Amino acid sequence: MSSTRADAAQATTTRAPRWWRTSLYVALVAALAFGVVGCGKRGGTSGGDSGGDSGGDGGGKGPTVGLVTDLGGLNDRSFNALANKGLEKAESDLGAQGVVIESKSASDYEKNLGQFAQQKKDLTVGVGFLMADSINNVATKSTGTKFAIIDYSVKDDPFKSPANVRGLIFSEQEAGYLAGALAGMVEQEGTLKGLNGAKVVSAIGGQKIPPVEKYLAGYQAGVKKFCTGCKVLIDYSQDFIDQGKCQDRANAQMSKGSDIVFQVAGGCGLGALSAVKAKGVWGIGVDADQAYLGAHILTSAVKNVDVAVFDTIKAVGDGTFQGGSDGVYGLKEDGVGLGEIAPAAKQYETQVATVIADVKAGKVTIPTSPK
Amino acid sequence: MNLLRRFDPEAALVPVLAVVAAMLVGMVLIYAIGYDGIYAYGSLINGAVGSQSAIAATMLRAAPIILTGLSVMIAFRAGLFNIGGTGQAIMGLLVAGTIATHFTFLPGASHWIVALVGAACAGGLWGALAGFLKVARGANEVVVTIMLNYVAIRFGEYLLGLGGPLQEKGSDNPSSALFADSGRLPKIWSPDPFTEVNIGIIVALVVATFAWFLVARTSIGFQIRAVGLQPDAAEYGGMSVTKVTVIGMFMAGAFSGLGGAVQTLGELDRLQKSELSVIQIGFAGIAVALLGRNTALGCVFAGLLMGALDSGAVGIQNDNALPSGVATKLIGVIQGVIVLFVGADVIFRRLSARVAGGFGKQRAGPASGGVA
Repeated sequence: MSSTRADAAQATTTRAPRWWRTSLYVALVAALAFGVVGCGKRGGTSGGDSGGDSGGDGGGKGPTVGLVTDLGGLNDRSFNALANKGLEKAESDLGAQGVVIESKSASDYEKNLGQFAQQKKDLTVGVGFLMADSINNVATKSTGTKFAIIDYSVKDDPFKSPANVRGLIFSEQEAGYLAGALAGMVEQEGTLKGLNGAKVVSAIGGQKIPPVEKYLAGYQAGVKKFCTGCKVLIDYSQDFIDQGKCQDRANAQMSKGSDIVFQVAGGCGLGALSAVKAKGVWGIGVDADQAYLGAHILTSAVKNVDVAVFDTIKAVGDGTFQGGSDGVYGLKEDGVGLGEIAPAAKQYETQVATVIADVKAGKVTIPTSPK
Repeated sequence: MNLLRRFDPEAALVPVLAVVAAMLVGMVLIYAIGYDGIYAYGSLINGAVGSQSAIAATMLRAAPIILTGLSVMIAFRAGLFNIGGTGQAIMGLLVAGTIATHFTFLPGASHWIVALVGAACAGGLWGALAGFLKVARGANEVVVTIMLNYVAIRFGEYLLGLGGPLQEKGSDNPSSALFADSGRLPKIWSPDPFTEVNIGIIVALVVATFAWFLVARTSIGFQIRAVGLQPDAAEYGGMSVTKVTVIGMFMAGAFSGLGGAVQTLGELDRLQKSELSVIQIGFAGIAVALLGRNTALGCVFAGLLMGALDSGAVGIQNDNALPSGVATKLIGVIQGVIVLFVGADVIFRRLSARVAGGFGKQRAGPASGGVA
């Protein structure tokens, strides 16, 4: 190291103006990077909180409830939003005192659940299977408080049917069956615009996991029942996030003649639904009512997470909460169902109502794994 | 000692002003939507530092972002802008998770230590790749590191996806098996049964000290600074810009890799595929480094502050001080505004120059952005 180099470094003190410009540049790029990430992840514009929030917690004498969302946050238009809806209903109908904490990263789950356990909430609800490990850990340490996990069975790993945890699971095959039935009716008659008469429908599953398989099995059975000679194509995107993959699958299926595509792949599936829209054919949404996407959504196979959450809070209030087992929510319990039916297909509503009645009455046996 | 003597109050002034200004903006926003700002900020402070549990949660949140902040800092000192913290953290946590899950033959504490070292190497190589592409092919490191983020995400998704090599055998879920207990970071403080501070915060402080020493006290640190200031002059002075660029990016990647590993082995139970695409610590590191004025000590304070704000968001939600869903967004806004104000420090400098001018003679020349 000769002294000239040292001098170069000494120049530090006179480089201030450059510093500002560099900082500004860095800040701009950083702001852009944040913006891009923000848009990519949080996606949906909020659209406003659904009406008046509880705000105060005065006067309630119902159970105290803590709700921990997964990374999707409250504006996910899906499980988190629905769980919150159930909680809000319990606040107004049962006087429950609810607190919601949104998780920003996976490492937040255990901290947020732990907060509620420490405050001895009567019930702590975790949204989604990603929280299974965290709920298991916290519930093991907090045997005096009750927990519920949405869309996950307490009989599965890592749980060992803990006495203070209840799994809230759904009969997806029934919702899939209804969606399939409507698709079958539409294909059979073939009068809606966009149909090609080939009598081919399709579905895209995210992965071969139980909830997805149950949806697909019901869908397949429903289509076959109401459409003679209909073909059902089934593909898996192996992904729940990347919209491009589902878009590709949907395009492939449409090139094979499919004109109704049922997405069972969460966020990835939105790609399928936009491919469907571009092609001018029909799509079926999943989990939440996705009719907001446009008039091309024939209907949605929905899970009424709000019903399950409300029901569980009520059970805690009544003292009838049963841990160590799953609450199974089907059509009869209003735990699954169909979303809004597209305006163009309203004429099938009465027919669908009959199918719903039949399923509720137990007249139909619906398979739980696709053929 | 030396650290304190060199401490320049004016260098700390801009970040402090930026934080205060951002908090004021947040306060205005709260009143604008019709809520009680004072009450909300009370909840925020309570959630951030109001109890031992709150302090513990803040420390847990700070550790990984201090590390990713140091990553951005060291690259910046070498004149490189590392936006690849995300990808480097992912490579780090993938290796750390694999070691923690499968290398159960490692005895005692060596298990998690090896996992952290592995993470640092993996992240470092991922960072060095960007450095290498820059010197070998002239590829802009900003673009390359952003792209490598996606490569790392997709690589991890392949490893953990159904049928992937790291996915737990016989499971339906796209995730790895549970980490072995010895592979997890040891707990050092549990103010309550549910909040357990792990050794990650110590790791972050050790790495920060190392980073400061490296930059301020070693030959390679001197070269990093020289190249960062003026690469041509450094080259002319006999330094190898190539070497410094690759080493600088290796260091940056290693710190980010540690950040990912500290968060994963400290607070999670297994690797999950769905987390990879939403990991935030990489970008949070940019904010931390900016707020910390690209100094090691600054990164520590900035990381603690950003962690405290995130804990404060939980505090606000706990007290229902704002409608559900608003608290996390508000904190995001405050953090963003902080970054904006720090970057636009010229505003504060002009302001302080004018104020100072009113009281007496202005200091000779505008202050530098803080040394070391």
